[in-house]
Amino acid sequence: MATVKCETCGGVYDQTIADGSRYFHTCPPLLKLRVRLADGTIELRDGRVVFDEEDDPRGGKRRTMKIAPPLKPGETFLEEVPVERPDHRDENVKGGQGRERSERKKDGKGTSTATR
Amino acid sequence: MPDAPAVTPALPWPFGAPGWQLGRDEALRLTTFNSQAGVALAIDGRFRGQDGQPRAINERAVPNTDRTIATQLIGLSDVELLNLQVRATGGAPRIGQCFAVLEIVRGRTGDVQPVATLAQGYVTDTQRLAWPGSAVRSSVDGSGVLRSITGTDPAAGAEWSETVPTNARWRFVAVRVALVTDATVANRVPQVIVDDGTNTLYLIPSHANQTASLTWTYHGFYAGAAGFASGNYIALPFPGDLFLQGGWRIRSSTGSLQAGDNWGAPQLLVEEWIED
Repeated sequence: MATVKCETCGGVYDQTIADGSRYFHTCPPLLKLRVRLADGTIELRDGRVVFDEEDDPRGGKRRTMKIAPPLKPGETFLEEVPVERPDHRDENVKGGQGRERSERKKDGKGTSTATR
Repeated sequence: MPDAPAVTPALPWPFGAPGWQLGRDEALRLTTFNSQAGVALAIDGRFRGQDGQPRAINERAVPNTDRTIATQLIGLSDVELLNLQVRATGGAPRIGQCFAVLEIVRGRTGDVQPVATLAQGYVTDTQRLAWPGSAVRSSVDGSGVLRSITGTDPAAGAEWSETVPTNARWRFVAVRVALVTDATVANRVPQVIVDDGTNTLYLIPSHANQTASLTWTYHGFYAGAAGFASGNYIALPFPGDLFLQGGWRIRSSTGSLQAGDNWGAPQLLVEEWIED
């Protein structure tokens, strides 16, 4: 059972898992922010959702969601969206008919041997 | 009205079942979709040749192991097919892992035309697919195979993400995954997301903030409407009967995730079927 490291995302995995089946690694997506600008257009930008814990005037704590870096006046955060990372690896096979479907979807930067 | 011609009554099945007369340009075809390593199949049966004598069929097939289609033609033209069965002789596949279609086709190369499906369903080492006898079943009928899947251990600062393989269908049962936080002061809020590769279908955030230098284990499973925590154990509720097609994902998205925070490899329990 070979353990490898994905050279694109740094993830480590076994190519065959304990039940004898092949494992098909895919790189986790990166996360971007979808933001509505003051003029109404939509933009995808780098940034993260962060959470602060503040005292709640009614007692206890409350969680507050913020955007980092902060939005400009008139901008609205819509959602965090997954975006494929550059050179992402996807070991799943391509769709279509016939044996040629064994072709891997995306090689990315390849793999190297690793240990868990 | 003339007398009806005398007809010899047919014997009850299976003794007097008429065979399938294969024409000169016809053949048997076995099509398989398989996810298990090392699977070998035996195609056994009988046919009656031109001389009227029954003879045995003993063929072997090796399916692909990545759920892609594999086909094998068995040339039996100009004979009467009496019976067939397919069984696994290697690899010990379970229901949900090796799906087979037995059919009659016209032509050997190029545009092979299927003309009759004899049987289709899952094959194991103890359960045969037989003609006559077996039904023509869908690959998503009944129970699938239960799989415990160790996913990818992501690099520090990265989220985890598992994708349903091509030509598979999952029913999500449970996931367990640990997050080790570094010394940076921040409130990490893990969310587990199910998406179709693009669109979010389901999102459940943890109700508790994980702060610096902690190891918490998150458990997602069918658990009603609200999450709960006990020490470093966090439960995340999922809907029952959550089915996912090939290319759909289960992944994390962690608010305030720091560069030194480290998710472990997710351990998934799923029920799986072949679905082309």
